[in-house]
Amino acid sequence: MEAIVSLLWGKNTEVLRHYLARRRRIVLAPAGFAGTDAASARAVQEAGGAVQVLEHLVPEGRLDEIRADAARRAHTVAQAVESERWPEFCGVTACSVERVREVLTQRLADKLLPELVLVEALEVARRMHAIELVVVNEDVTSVGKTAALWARARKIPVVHLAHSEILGELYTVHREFHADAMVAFGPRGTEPYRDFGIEEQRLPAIGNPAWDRYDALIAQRAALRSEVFRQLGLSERAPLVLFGTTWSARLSAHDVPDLYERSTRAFLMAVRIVRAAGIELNVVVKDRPANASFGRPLLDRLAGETGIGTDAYRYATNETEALIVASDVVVSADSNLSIEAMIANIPALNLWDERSWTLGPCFSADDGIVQTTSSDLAAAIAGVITNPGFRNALLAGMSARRSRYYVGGGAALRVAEALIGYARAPEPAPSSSAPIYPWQLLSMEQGNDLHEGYIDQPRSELFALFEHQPRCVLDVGCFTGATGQAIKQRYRGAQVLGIELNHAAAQVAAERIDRVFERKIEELDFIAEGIQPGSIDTVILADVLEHIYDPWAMMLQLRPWLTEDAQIVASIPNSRNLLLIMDLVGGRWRYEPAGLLDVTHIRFFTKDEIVRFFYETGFNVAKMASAPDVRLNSVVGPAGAATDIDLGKMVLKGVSPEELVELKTLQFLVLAHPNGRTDGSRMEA
Amino acid sequence: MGPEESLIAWKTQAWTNPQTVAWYAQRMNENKGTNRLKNLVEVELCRRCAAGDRVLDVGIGTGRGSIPLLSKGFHVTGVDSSQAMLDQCRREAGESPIELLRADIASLPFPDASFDTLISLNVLVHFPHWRDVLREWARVVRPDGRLIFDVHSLDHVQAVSRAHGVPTEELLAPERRTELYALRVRAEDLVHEAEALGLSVVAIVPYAAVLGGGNRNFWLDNSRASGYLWERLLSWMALDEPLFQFGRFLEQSLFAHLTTEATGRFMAVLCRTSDPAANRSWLQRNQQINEALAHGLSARVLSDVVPGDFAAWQTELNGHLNDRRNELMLSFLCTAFAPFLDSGCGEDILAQEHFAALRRYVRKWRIDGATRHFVKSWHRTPSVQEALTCAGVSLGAGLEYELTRELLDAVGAFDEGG
Repeated sequence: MEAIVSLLWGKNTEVLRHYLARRRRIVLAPAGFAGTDAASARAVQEAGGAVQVLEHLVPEGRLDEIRADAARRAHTVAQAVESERWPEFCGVTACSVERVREVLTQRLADKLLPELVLVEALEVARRMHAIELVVVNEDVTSVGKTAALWARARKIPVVHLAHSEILGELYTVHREFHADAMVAFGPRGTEPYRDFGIEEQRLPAIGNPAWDRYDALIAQRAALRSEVFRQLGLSERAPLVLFGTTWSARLSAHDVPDLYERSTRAFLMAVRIVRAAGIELNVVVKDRPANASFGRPLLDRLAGETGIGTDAYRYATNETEALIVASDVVVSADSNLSIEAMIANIPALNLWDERSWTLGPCFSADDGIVQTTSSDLAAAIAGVITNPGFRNALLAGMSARRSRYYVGGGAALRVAEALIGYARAPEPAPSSSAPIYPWQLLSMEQGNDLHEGYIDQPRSELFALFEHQPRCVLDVGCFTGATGQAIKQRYRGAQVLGIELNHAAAQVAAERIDRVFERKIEELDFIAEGIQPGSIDTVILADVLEHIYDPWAMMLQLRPWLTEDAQIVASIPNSRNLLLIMDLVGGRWRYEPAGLLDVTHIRFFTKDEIVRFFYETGFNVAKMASAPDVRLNSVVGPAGAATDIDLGKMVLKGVSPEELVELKTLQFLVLAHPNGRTDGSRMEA
Repeated sequence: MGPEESLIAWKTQAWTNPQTVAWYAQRMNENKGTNRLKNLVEVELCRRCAAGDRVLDVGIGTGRGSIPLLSKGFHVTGVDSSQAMLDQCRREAGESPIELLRADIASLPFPDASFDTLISLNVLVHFPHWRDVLREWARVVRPDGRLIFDVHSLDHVQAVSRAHGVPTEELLAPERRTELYALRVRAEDLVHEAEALGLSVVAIVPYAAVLGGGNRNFWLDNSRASGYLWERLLSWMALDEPLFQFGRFLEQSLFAHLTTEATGRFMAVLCRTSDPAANRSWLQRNQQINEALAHGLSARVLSDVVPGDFAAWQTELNGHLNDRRNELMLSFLCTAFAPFLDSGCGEDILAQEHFAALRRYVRKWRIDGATRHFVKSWHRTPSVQEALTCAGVSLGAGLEYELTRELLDAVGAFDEGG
């Protein structure tokens, strides 16, 4: 299956959505990145993609080995640097060799671990999927850079989508360029990279998807403003001054650690002066979410010290775009907030601090952004608020330069299309074997290829059916073992055995679960494999029964190896699906490469037939859940009452709410237990 | 048409379109970036060095060089190859009397010795056949009259080439494109040519040290005073009056007194009188200053070249530096000359606090550079590299970000204040 590796942040989920809507792909993402939380995972699924958490590709058992590997590597490094003296670095920085050695080796194993896990996960992913693109939101920190370097080593295209516009120099850690291209927010964002010697063609300036919200927000500015004022309890009579805090990254010797406090104090002092002059102000301080723990108390302290009072401002850490659109003037220090103010047509004041130009001025004189020092900030705020001429001149100046920084809304789509352009072209299948009809798949050589329709994802929806902790699990048709791996992660101590005929998948599964048998279940010699009768307490039959010629025989064969309270969980396609009936009524019964009429399906079940199937083979269905067919979401009946469903040539009469659920089901999820009878005797009518 | 002729034709016809001319005129008048400073330096030199009252402005363009002379009582004639430029110049001159006619710069429609002074701003820089042009210009100037014009300096590029170990051809590669062609002349060649034409040097004034744009200062390559970053800083000269005044000080009171190696452009002021001895002594002095400057700027060297009271000059310089932005601008410039600063250069020129600030800035700049280099190189020694490679991926590279922060902390980079 084709896949992309994405280290995009949540704010760029829209880019993934557009990408997947154009190209159905697996998204491989480390935990914490876009697609791995509930909301963004849903967005990915709705767009037709599926997310695979990269770390989950690494078998549980491997983690200890990787940890040991990290420790070994750290140890080797510690020994290797014993003899190093680094005269140049120690000379320039006047730092002792011992101290440098200490820094290099401290917590080294811990630092290496996430990199090693990522590389391992990416290597597993590469064996399972055809990876066409790696996309990152930064390529300088340990994970982003490792992913980018891995992509380069594997000759997979890698694109860096800027997460903020760098305005000054690319100093220390930012003086890097590993991607094939970096998407900048606007032409201005390419300048530091061009100063660094990167060719313009590698720097497409096509926008910031996270700024796509602005068009809609600006269109409803008045309503938004009222809402923001209401929520924050601001006075409708007074203008809103928004201050964005700043911070020191401590990545340049020019950084000053107290910048956060210094700039915030300067702002609060200015507020005091403006208010003392009789100008009413609403003040909102917008802090980084990561600062909230110390930001709030610090601000309260500064508010006390500067004498403006702790109730004289509001504190916010999110909804930046709404705050900007609702404000009358935006104050920040060398920040992207000034650009956002430019987009929203709000005057921006850039607070100039002694540190400000040390890495190059962030703004040009003609950008229309006012540069103020702490001593003239109050006058600038008052001027913007009370002097319409000044305000309009600033807005005109900003407007003239806006296109340097902002290339308009709709960036998510532009970026997604650009990413598709960078993605590696899929390997063209030899034309002779390219199937035209679904049935041609049947005669094609199969079983050694992972890039077929199955998705390497745990079927965790089946876990909800478990009634007891699985201890010894048999996963029939385990594919790459994703489900078994998830079981082992979730239920400590569980043993998972798998049966899989696809060799490539079985190889992957072998690294994840305890044992994998590459043979048909009817040919499996349980005793020879050391499986005791009555030992298997959980059987997974995920999308299996419909593929087997004699599933009844398989159930009978399984029975002796199961415990008395064994739980059989199965997913089975629903043949009484409304769309299937409609097609049949219309005369269509069309085999497809996938879906309800997957050409490889040879047995068909309805809800009723599933219950009968289990009963006749010595099991009782204990629970049955429905996985709805989303194509039928719009079919609804009256609450609590029966209804007729008109299929054109045929009307289904008196369909009860329960029956409607059945008709709208794509797959049934079933839990069954052995019913104590082992003779396969007849079901009572 | 050979390459030189086609270049001449291209440059001559570049400004015949009225719309292009209107754009150019607006650019000349706009107070944007270092425009005002460049204009001021060039026009002041013309006014200061002009002799007599009959002035010919060759390639007058919109008249920015000579319209200011009208109010000083000069009688100005202007020629240009573009009628659109002349029309624009007429509009810019308003009511003031000015004679304008179309002519080629190398074939002037005037009898010999018709003018007291010939000025030509930003014209000769476009043309490769400067020797022919100069002969024609000398013809129309009366004996003892003046020729004032600017060219780019080849001495500058050659000196940087020697100092930085980069071939001149490589440095000049961008200027090989027709649209970016820039005439570069060595002072010695100019003086010899002048002598052959019966001219003598009055002054050769270096400028454009801090003008940015098309006036590249090659000394600043790879320093913090280069690229878009430097242009952004220079842009503030349009709004930041102290920064503008400091730029003016640097141009007029410092670099103007140095040599054609110091800056990428110079204004030549020649006299229509043969004086081989004066030419020889000018070249000698130029050479002496170059030699002295090779050891960096010191009070001793500077007090020799800066005219007037050196203590007053120092006071003025330090006054400019009391403004933090000016101090930072000088800091950026100093990153191009860091080794000089190490050897104490500037210590006897600057006030103690400013010298310390420059040293501190350059030290931090160096710590950043050394840290960057170190985090990238330490893991490339064979034994470490082997331990830190996994599936062909360098794990050491992934450590760089965090190590940078930890090392900067360890070396006490944040302890010293800004």
